[in-house]
Amino acid sequence: MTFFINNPWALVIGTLVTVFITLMTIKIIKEVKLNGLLRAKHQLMRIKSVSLNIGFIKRIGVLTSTALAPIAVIAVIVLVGTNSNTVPSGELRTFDDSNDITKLYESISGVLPRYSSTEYSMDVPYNDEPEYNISSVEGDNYDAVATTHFLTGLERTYSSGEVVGEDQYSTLLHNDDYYYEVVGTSIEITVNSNEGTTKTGTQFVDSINYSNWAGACNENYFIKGMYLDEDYLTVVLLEYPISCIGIDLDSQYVFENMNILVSVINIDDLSDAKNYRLNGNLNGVIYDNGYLYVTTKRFLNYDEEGFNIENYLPYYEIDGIKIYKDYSEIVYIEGTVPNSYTSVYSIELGANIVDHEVLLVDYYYDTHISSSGVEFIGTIYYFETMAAVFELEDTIEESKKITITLNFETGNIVYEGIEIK
Amino acid sequence: MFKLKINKSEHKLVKEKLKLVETPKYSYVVTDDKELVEDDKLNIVFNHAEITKVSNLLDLIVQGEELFITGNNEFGQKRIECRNFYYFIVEEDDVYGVLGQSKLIIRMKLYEIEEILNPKDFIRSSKYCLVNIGKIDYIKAALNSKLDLLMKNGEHLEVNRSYLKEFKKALKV
Repeated sequence: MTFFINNPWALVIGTLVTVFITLMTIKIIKEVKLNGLLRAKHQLMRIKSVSLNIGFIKRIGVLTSTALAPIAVIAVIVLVGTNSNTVPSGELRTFDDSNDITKLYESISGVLPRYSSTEYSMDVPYNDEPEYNISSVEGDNYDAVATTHFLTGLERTYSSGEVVGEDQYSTLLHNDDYYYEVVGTSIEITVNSNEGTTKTGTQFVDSINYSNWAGACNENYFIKGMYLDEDYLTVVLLEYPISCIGIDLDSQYVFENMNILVSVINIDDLSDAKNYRLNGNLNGVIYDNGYLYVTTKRFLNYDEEGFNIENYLPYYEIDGIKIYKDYSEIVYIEGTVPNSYTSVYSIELGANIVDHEVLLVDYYYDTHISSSGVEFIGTIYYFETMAAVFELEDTIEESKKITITLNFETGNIVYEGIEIK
Repeated sequence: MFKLKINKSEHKLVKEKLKLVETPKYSYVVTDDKELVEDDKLNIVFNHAEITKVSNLLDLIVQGEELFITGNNEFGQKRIECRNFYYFIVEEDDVYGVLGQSKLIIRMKLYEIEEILNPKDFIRSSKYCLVNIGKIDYIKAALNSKLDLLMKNGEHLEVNRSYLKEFKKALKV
């Protein structure tokens, strides 16, 4: 009964087939009976009997075949459906619009058992809170190199979704002239008067304060870390748009950053060179020779009340100008769980150039990031095509490990390939 | 029409030789035993040696006297025994008697032909058609409650819903 409630088309087809078979059966019975009478009548009339001729048998055979044809067709569909499985080709699939993604979700949500928002809401990892350990601070003497230690993916307690290889962010950096130190939501700049051996007694020069950056959404910021080169001080911040989240403030999602802010500052005059806002929860970041590569994830909680997939479309922003990703550029791989927009951004620091690629993959995919590229590693499923329709218990034929590789080519993000083992 | 009264062991064999079909209501008793005759019926008492003659006699009884119907075509007039007609049909106010491959114009109304052929196993299949049951090869039941008659000459005739009941009744033995 539940099957028919969930699949009304099956009920309609079933009813039509039953009606058709009933009519054909009535027709066969009628014909057999009438022709039986005709033969008896002919015998009575002493006409050479037509007896049980081949034509009659053939006719009844055709009628019976016609009556049973729908059952045979359905049987074949069921047989094929229950014995064949979708083999993910590994080829990339794109979409025309958000409806395509929703349809994709609906088509496989009953097939992939992990595709449960309940499970995910229990397991979605909090973004790294600043559980940093200022291990190298001794008294007032600061080490001249990176001092802040964040928990990396390797140290997380959950078994998947880990990030390997990302930069160890720094909250205290220096060059020949200045120290740059994260203090709360500010960066304090002091004179490097003793050539970087200690920061003790240095002269305060200026500060950059991010606490007053609240926009329409009353964003809060947390400074994740900094990078320093000859031209720029690059600050990576996590952004919490408190009033624009549209979800219960007690929800765990509040603890996740919604966007990444990359603030690039000219070190000559401490002016803003560029501000980049990258959509998504920070996953991994790496700096390489003037380029910043960032990966983010955005979990698509389809079952959330009032869920509107349009609100999740990935974008980036350069100095207030938003550039949304086109749905046709979002890539999906058949057989993977499409529950998260995973973005890879490449920023040429200080310039208006951002390369942005988006994969629709499982939130739980591990990320291996390095200066040469990024790998997303997870599971690809070979599932029964008709499992949802026939409510099969074993929906997954088998699962394999998939590695999706994107290379970083001097600021460009290039798909290298997919490996399935 | 007939009732065969004969020793049980020979009943089936004799029945086949005589091509006899027994009916619940009968007018003729066919027997090889004088003791089994029925006073209120016509009785045929036969000797097993003359079984072929008896069979021919039964043919005559069933078929009755020959009945000829006169029809015309471009070659002139033709007199045909009624059992050779497949059906009679009204086309543009003319009544045609259809034979295997040809047809004759009959100078009679269809209902007049029907009256004459009443004892000859012709039955109305529609307002315009009178069918010889003996020339029907196969009956197809259509899904719209009509019947499709495949005649022995390969033609198809339709039994309308309003004539269906009478048609089925006529088929019953």
